[in-house]
Amino acid sequence: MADAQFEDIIRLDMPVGLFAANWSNCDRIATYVARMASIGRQDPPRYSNLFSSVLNELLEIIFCYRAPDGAVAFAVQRHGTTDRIALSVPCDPSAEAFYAAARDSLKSGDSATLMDKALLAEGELDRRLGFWELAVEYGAEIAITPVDGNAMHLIVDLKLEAVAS
Amino acid sequence: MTEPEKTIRRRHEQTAARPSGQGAGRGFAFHYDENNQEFVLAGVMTPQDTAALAPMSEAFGAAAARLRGTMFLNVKKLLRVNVCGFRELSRLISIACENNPELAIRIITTSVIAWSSRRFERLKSVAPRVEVEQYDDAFYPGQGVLEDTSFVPILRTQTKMTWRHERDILPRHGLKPKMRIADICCGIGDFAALVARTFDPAEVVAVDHAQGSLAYARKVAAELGVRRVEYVHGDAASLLLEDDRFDFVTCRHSLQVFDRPELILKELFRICRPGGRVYISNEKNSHCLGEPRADSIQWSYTEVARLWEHFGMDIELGPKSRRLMMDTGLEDIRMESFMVTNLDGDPQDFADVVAAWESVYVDRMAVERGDSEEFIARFRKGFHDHISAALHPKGYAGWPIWVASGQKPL
Ligand SMILES: C[S@@+](CC[C@H](N)C(=O)[O-])C[C@H]1O[C@@H](n2cnc3c(N)ncnc32)[C@H](O)[C@@H]1O
Repeated sequence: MADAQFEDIIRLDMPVGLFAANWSNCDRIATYVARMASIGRQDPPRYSNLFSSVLNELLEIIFCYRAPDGAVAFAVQRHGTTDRIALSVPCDPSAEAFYAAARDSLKSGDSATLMDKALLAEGELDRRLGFWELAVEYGAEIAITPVDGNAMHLIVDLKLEAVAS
Repeated sequence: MTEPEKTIRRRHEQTAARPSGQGAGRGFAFHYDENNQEFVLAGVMTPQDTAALAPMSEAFGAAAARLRGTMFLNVKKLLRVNVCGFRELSRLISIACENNPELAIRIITTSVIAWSSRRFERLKSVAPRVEVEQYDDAFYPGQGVLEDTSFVPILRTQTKMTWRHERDILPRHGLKPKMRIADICCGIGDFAALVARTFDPAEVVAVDHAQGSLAYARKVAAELGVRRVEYVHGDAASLLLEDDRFDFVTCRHSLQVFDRPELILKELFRICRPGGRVYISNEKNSHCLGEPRADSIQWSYTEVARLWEHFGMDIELGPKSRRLMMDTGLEDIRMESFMVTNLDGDPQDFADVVAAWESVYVDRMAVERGDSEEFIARFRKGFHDHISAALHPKGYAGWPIWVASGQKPL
């Protein structure tokens, strides 16, 4: 996850149990962290609105797909106009399968079509929609990598100043 | 009411959404306004599942089934929607259009929330007769003129001239060090920067809707090393700033550009803390004056007032400030006027400002109104006479301004 060029803005480790105790944690953490990440950006409220939307989506995905125990680690880092959200999620087999499928779909390069289909599909929400939306609407570059010890690393690079203007 | 009037009213209506939908997200609210056929969504809509949105979905379905013509879906204050909420909206819209073949849905977004228009555009493919309108593309009459950056240098000179007076006036209206200040409709941001330098505030948030002006403001602030001013894109009629947040809220030369200034004043009131003060300044252009050639000058400025009125703006608002403030619920109203004149500083500054007015009022607005050549010639002459008065060795030229402030009740 380390990349010398990127500078840490905020780092948080949380037991899964604590994070997953309440759905509204996604919104709370997203709002709080977005406020910090928007310091020094051109139009902080505008930036923070975008950033919190993105982060909330990622946190909601993790909320749904993760192992019952372990710790979620997450960091926001900055390099110039790029902000990076780096997440590490403990996974059980079903979560692993979900992230693998998400990675494959992102590789297919047609997130826009997948997204439109998922929006109109009946039945259960396909949570991969969150990733597709970040890729399409926010120009996010998303890397999903399995790591030892049954965890998944998600690295999401964002150039939100460009989206904001 | 004619159709355009209706649209303007609807556009300026405040989103008075009621809290609802437990579990649907922090501060999420919706409400349906039958009169305007408008369904309003506001706040953070991040449901865990669609069940959490059931009250909203039901209300939407019921409204859509009943009405004819266009249903307006107002998302101007919808700060965030997660994928679950967005999918539910898309489902609701598609069902509504399917069940009611006469229904059209127009989604009203704002450019202030950067993701909003683009994301909602996708819903156009969900059903026929779904449209998206970014409401602030053309939401006040003089927008084309005022958001044009050619106006920039002149605003700067204007503020230089008014600041000489206001620097001394502001403390009388309650401005003190260490205050949290908002300047709404900040233009190119020079007033906010001057306040930051002079009055040692805790923070200054300066909001405008013109991105060009904001970019200029940030550049100038950086060059001057001004800190503690945040220049923010926003809509004065629908600010995203929290209630009761500021000690001192200013709005200068701007209520006069809106067709319904009372709605802006309501927002200024809302973001001011109880006990804090709202400060506004406005003109009464027909009272601009000069010697020699007083009559010609007066004639032209009286025509300026008519011209503004034609475009739905009120450049005569200054003296009406007291009533507007009282009607908004402000107390302890203090009001005074001052006259910017050619004797204040460099008379050339005064002349430059008048020349800029001429180019906007004569060459743009009067031409757009379709005025005759005779009218334009006479109209222009008043500005030239005002410039001559300013530069005349024995001349006098004046531009009067009214400032008013009121306290939000404790
Ligand atoms: C006449 S200028 C005054 C600017 C500045 N206060 C000054 O004294 O130089 C009016 C300003 O209001 C801004 N404005 C107009 N409608 C607005 C809105 N709905 N929200 C925010 N700003 C708006 C325009 O962009 C413009 O900068």
